[in-house]
Amino acid sequence: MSVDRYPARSIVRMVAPLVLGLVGGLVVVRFHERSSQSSPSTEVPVASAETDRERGMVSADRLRLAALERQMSALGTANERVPHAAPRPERVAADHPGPEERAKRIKADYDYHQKLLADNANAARNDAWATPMEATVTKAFGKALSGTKLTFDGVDCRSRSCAVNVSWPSRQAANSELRLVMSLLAGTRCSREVALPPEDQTTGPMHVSVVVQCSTETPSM
Amino acid sequence: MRQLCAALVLLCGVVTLSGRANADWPSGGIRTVPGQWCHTGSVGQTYVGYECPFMSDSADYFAADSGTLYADFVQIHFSNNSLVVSACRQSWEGGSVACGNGMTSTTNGDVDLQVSGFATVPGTAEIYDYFFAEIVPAGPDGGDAIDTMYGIGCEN
Repeated sequence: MSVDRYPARSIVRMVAPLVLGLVGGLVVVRFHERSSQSSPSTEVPVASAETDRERGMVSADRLRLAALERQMSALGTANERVPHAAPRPERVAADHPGPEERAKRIKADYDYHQKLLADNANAARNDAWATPMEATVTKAFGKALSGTKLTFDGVDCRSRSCAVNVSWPSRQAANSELRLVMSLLAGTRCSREVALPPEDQTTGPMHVSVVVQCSTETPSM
Repeated sequence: MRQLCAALVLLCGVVTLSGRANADWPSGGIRTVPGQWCHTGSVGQTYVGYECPFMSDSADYFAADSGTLYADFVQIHFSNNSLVVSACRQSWEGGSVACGNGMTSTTNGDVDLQVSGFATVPGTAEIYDYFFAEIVPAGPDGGDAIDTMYGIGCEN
């Protein structure tokens, strides 16, 4: 194990780079502050950067900044092209949900669901769209469903929507496989919605209809 | 100094927007859960795709629910019209589920897919609801799968 006979020199060797780095950093910060003061506007057009170059100032940062601003602008334009197909859902804050709030929520969702089903039932049927969509839905449920308690009971499509009838032996089984039904219908590329009836209205097997709503752009599959 | 700061902010913004693939997902906003991006969904022996739970740093999911989702993953085993990605919401009491329009990946390799966000999911959203994205194979062979999942984020 070596012993340092000149500890003062070692300290200087350790501290010197730090001091140099600090001084260098201060010089850089000062330089940028002076650059900022020479240009009162935060906007950095290319023409302004050209003028600075003529004055002998370092303008690489300004050029880079102008290029970045152009890229940001282009990206913003690209994002504006993203469509939002449907209106925003209503926002409700449910604080400390208890049994009453639970029953209220189930009823609200079920009422909304019933309205969608009624809209589908009242819509005219367009065979050119409905027939291939019904085949698509039927095929989706024809996949192996071993290990599930779900039964497919048929589908009724109209012009741009369908009611997909499914059932379970109990509410508990339905609750545990609701998300499975959504997955099985993902291939339609349409929005899907299902709601179980209020708990005090049902006992025994659970028969429900999933509403599938397709936009006009959705091709029949 | 202000220009230096502005340049740094712009640089970060550009990196976030253009370098989405393979990047760590930014903190803040609504996004899939880091470290447990998605898990394989199955019922019995039936493979039903992936389910990707969403989380938010705040209790207010609605701060970002109008944004578009960006699904970022790698898919090597690919067939035409293979994986469909949808934003979904299950009510906190469990009795209702709704999903928005699905979007289909159309390339293999790195996939950066824009998907209709939670604002397009039918019905009423409440603050304790379970938000998730589903990624489901919809191709004819059903064998498509994700090789690497980077995450799903939401941008306003």
